[in-house]
Amino acid sequence: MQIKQFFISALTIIVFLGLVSCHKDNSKINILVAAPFTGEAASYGKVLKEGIEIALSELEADPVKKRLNVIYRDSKLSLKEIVNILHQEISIHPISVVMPVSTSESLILAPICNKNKIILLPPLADGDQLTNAGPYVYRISPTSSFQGKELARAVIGGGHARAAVLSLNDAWGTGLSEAFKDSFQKKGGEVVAMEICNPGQTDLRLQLEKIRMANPSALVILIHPAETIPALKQIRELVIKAQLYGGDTFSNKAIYNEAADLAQGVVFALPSQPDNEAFRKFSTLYKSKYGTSADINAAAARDAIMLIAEAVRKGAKNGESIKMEFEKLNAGFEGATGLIKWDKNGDVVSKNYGIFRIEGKGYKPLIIK
Amino acid sequence: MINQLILNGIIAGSVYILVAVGFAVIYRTVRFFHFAHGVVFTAGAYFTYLFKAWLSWPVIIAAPVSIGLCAMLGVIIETSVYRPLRHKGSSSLILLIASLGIYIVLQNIISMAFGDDTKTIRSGIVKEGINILGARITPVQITIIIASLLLLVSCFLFLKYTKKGQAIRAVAIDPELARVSGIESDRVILSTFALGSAMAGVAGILVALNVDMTPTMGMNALLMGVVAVIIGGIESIPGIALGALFLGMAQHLGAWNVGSQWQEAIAFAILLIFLLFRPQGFLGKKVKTATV
Repeated sequence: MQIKQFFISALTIIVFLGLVSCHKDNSKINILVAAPFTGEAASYGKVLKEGIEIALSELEADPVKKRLNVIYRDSKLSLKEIVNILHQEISIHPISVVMPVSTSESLILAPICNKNKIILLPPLADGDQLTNAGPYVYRISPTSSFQGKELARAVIGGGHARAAVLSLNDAWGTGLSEAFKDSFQKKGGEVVAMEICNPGQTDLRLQLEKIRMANPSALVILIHPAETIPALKQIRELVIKAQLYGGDTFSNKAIYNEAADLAQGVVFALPSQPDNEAFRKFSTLYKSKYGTSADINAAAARDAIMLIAEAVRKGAKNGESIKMEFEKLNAGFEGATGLIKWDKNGDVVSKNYGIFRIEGKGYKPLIIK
Repeated sequence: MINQLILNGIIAGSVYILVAVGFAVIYRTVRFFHFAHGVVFTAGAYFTYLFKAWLSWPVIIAAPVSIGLCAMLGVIIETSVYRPLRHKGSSSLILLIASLGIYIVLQNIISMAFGDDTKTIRSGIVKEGINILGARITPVQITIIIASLLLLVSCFLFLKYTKKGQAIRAVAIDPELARVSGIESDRVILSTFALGSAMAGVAGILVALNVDMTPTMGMNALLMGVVAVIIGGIESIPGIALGALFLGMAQHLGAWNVGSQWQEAIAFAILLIFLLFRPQGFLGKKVKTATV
């Protein structure tokens, strides 16, 4: 009899503990940051995390911070991996917001997010393909078409009518290269070569040889830092004399650490840095925490968290209510990246790109006539 | 243009030779897919980076020390993992999984220690390549071609004409018979790991000097090396060299027409063709089996 009672009691305790552990804490707003923290694109995951950590330190005294639960997962920039991560996290706790890095990752997550009413808020993704990705998709960075137009303006303004493009074989690379090509041709320029390389590819001599044969006066480089560093070296070795232009990836610190001498004079487009209080505060905090000048991509990650915090402060409890608050916030949210105002597709329409030139270990704004 | 493509093909082929011969020397004696060969290749590059960038050693000193460390790494892998498993009677599949595990663990250690960004070990300013008949070649690329040629010939002569080389071949052909003849197979296998790993180290350093390095660089190099081994025929060192050069040429000449992003696809298409129609490779011999 005693043994029977013991087993019943033990079973009751086990069932109770099981139920308690399975209970989902709905008071927290779970923000899944699925970014590449390892692999060739790890520098983006690092930047994203830096921006988020700054945002959380800004919210230190704010009661809202206690309600935000940031979950970091390493996506390795793999589409398969990021889908698995989202499914796993959804099965563990209610996810309100997902923050991936790339356009490709965002595109593959968008249907899952729309179905589960989860906000998809990629701070850095700027590919035009995301424009029609669904009602739960919002961005922080302006789209590639803005960047492509600005780059085309810079190349034409630099006096180059023949340009070649070296882009990455992914949604961001192809989207941006097409946006540049369209704008450049409309302005009377001719794209004489369009070469693509795979992510992580460091031997780019074949692509560069094709570009050299086309004899462009400008070369637009739209690849990640992992490929950019060897590409800059190979451009010099193959004696490609074209003026170098690039996308927003040229702001990445990895390039300045490993190939600053080869990147001197590269002209590139980057979301404009605002002159506002939020950016100044962010810059001070960033410099004191990481010892270097503020990164605009980190500022984008900071703004993403601040937007969510603002929605939660106003009573949002899940993805659906965050969306409702975002619609109200759309009158204008002043972040460290500038004013954030979305169109009906969640694309940022209040920001633009600036043109910068690499000088020394940093970059300076360039005025294009 | 065609001169540059041929030159690029020879350079790629030379790198494949270094990886493929090292892999084949080990494979012939242990008969399993030594995945960790890829991470030894990566380690060669990162050891040099460590000495060059962190300790400010000149490359001329950092490189030989790194090659020695790669040989040592190969020996440690063999003595601490493969040999105990072999003595327990583990199958080739178990050894393959173990080698994959070693690859992942060591690659992650490299990532943690050095970060995942592309690193460079070049010294001084990057100069324009030397012009040879309209094609550009750098001093590092000339070194790659010469090093692969020298190591290929040395390896061939070592295996063919030295006592140690003959012992390696004996263990490769029939380990049991070699043991009966008084050859200590464990010692022979250890030598092949030291030799093959040193060659992987040389390849890793030269590739890093040529196109920089990332912690994942080893896997692609290993796969291309293995394709070259299969195309050339694993039993023949000259065959492997031929396979590697053929692969390098085919990738560069083929990708010129179909697009640069298809280089890997071309390599694996060639591999499939060989596996289907000439599995013994260029200079390999068909093995006939007979039972009594």
